[in-house]
Amino acid sequence: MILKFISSLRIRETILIAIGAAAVLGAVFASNDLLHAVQEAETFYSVGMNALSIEGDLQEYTQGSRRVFVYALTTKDPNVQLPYVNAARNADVDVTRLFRKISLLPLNSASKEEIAGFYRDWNRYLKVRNSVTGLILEDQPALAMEQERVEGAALFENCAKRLKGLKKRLDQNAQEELEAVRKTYYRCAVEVGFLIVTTILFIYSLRMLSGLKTTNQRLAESEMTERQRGEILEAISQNKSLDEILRSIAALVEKTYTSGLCVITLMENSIELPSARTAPESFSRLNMACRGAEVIDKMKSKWIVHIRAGKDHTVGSIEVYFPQQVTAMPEDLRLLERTGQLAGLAVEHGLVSSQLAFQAKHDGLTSLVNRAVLRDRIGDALKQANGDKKSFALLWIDLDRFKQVNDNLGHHIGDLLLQQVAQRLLACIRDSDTAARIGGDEFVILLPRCETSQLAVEIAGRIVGRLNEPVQAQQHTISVSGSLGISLYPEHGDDCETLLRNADTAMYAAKASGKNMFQIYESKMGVVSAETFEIDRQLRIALDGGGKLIGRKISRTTEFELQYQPQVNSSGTIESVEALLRWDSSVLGAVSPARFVPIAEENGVIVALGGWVLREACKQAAVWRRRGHDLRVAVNVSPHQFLRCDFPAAVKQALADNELPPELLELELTETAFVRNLDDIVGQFETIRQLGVRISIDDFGTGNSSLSYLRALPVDGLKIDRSFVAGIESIDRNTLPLVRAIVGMAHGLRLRVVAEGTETRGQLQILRREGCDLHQGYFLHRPVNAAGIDAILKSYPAGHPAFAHEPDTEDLVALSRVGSREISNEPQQLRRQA
Amino acid sequence: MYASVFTAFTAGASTERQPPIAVMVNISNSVNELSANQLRSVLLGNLREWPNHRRITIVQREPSSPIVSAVLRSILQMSVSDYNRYLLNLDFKGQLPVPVKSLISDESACSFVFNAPGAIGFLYAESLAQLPCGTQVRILRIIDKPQFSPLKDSNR
Repeated sequence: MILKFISSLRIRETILIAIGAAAVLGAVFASNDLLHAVQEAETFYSVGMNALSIEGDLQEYTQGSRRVFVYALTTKDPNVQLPYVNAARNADVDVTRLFRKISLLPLNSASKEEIAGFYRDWNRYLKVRNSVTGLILEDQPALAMEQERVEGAALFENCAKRLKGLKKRLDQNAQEELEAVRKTYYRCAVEVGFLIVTTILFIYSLRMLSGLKTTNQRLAESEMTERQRGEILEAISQNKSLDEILRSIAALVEKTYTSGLCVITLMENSIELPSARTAPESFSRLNMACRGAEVIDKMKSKWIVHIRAGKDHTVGSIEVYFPQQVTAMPEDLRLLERTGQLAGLAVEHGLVSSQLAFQAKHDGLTSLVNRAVLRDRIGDALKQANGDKKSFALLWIDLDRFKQVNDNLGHHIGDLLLQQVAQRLLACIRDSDTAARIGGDEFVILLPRCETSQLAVEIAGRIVGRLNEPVQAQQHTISVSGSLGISLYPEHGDDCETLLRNADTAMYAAKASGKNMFQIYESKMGVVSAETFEIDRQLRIALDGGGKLIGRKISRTTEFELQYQPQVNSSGTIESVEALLRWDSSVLGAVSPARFVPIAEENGVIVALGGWVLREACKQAAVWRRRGHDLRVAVNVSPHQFLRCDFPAAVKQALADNELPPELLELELTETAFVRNLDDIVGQFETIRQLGVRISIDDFGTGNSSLSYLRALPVDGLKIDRSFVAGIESIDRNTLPLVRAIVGMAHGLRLRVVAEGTETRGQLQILRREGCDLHQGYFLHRPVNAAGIDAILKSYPAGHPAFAHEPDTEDLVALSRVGSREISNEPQQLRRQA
Repeated sequence: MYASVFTAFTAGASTERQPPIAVMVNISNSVNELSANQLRSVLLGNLREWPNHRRITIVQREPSSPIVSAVLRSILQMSVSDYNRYLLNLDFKGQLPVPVKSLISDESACSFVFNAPGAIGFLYAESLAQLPCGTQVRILRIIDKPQFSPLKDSNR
């Protein structure tokens, strides 16, 4: 209570005023005493010095008077005596003058009594001396001397004693005065000390009071400022417009500096935005002056502080103009700095809000709008089209072989590719059109006010053409293409979902038709699309319970099976078998590899499937080996699988798990795997070759074959594509020379040649004649399961595999067909694996 | 006061025009006036004490001074040499000498009278008025004209 009472500012002021009054009184008293002490000291000094001086003079003059008088006694000539007598009388006059002078001094009573006594004795002496003088002058020296001896000398001695007593009294008086002055001095010293302490207290109190007042004032101002800052922060948190917030900040500054004029300026392009096309309007203004820009020229002084957003990123400035010369104090600079921080926070918040809003509506990689915005705009287009009876189009674009780019070159290259594709799409469309990215490599373009399909076709063709142009991503030059589906409103649907689905269906149709093209939706496409979707779904279910698409284990392996097609050498011996994957879906029934393998490659499950095939094939080869048949098993490897960095380890693991010699495993690889950097491919080849595993190139002669691969890659054999085998009996004169050239080239490179798709006796005869090392085809053996291979092997004559003579074609056919059984009537070219 | 003194004193002294002469005594002297005969007796040593029995000392200027001859002639009808012989004659007779002090200046003479209670001096009144001590001595009034009679000169 008391502390609270004392802490009251008014009470403090009262106390301080009392201290100040005490200080003033102390000063008055001390000054008075000091003056008094000075006066006393001066008086003491003056009186003391005067008294002592006079006393000294008295001594001198009395002695002088008597001395000259005695001189007068020593002669009888009055002409000589009289000057001495006169001198003595003059000295007497001086003595009288000194007496009067000393009598006026404010001496103590004892001194005054001593002086009075001296003067009395002196006058007596003078009377005697005058008498003596008379006697001398009147020639009565004896009498004079007698009187002088008896009376004069005694009286003079009394006078001398009086003077000595006077000196003693004066000394005592001086001691008393000195003591008094000293006491006064001590009192003055105490009072001056008190005065100093009081003054210090007073000054300190004044400063404290001033500080308290200043602090209170500052607190009040600070509270007001803080309240306004809070309001501004609240406005920021409420996502109010940046313009409004900056105006509030300017008002806050002008409220603080009533004569000041605040101008807040944002620099042009000070904030980097994801896309200039979608930049918020609040950031695109140039030199936004909040107010008063027209009177700035009349101002005489200016304070300025930078607005920074993020780390030292200057985005603008706050300037305060004054009509007079005003120097900024440190607290002003601090306030301005804090205001600048507040403005920076507002700008930064605006930027973040804009970015968040942007990110909510746009794809982060390509800055194209996302699916939600696309739906909104399609909805707008529907409304507009319904009202105006107009039409619009949707273009669904999917990149071909994008997954290969991602898997082979890495996702960062894939991202760069997508960004360039987005730019190309934007370059192909009108400003009123909308380009959206709705999935990995899937884009949709909305073409509003598309009166005829011709415009959609024209833009689609333009897009396909632009996508065909090579893309430079870092050091890689990538050739991609796109498949594009078109749906038109209202012909192909009257709602967003239908139109999107039909455009997607048309895109799949374009892919099915060979990719790198566009297709306009047709109703029959819907059936194919539904079948594709179902295969995809069942494939996912068959693998890892339908959840993990890239899982290493296949939970429903009973739906998958490996069949083996023998590869027979020219002597009729089965040297090896090619493992072929079959899928007998519990829902869809037997699904052709030609249907599900591309889908598996598209959705990525081909890696898991390929791994399973590799392990199963090795396992089966090991079984045959344990039974005495060293059959080499050829496994088709997808490029996705082959180029994975862990593939050599998987191969090694499969061999080790089954204790299979590596030379009994052969990997068949198509040329599509060679799109990647050749150095990487060579490295992977060599790693696998070091394991002892054979590698051959499948489907040689088709696709992007390049002889440079044969020179650079350490392969063991070539497999002539079935298209060449099928044509060697035709009238096409070019096929046979090509086959002959391939065989000759392979043998020149010491490569084994396998001819697949051998389906007739004639083909077999020609291929044998041309020197093919191995033959594979329906004419010799259809693919059979492992038991079927066992049966074929058992049917060989004893002493297998050598014939004593070179068998003719009939023998070879007869031998090779033993034990085989029909399991499928599908053309072999549909059984391609990755 | 001096003027009256001088006038009275000089009027009967001579028909020749003489400056007035002042006869001065110590301020303590109770005598205010003297007759011419008394003055003559003092100079001749016949009157040697004042009424208070204080011994009379005659103060003069040096013998060559005009005031001395003027005083001696006007009071004693004697010249300076005559007066000196008279004094020597007194000595030869064994009488007490007349105490005569010769001072070298008016101021000394005045000062002497001022300091010696029994002194009597003679100065021109005009000169005495100029001296600082002139006010510190008493001027005697000569109350009658001197009666000159032949001196009884014992030495003759």
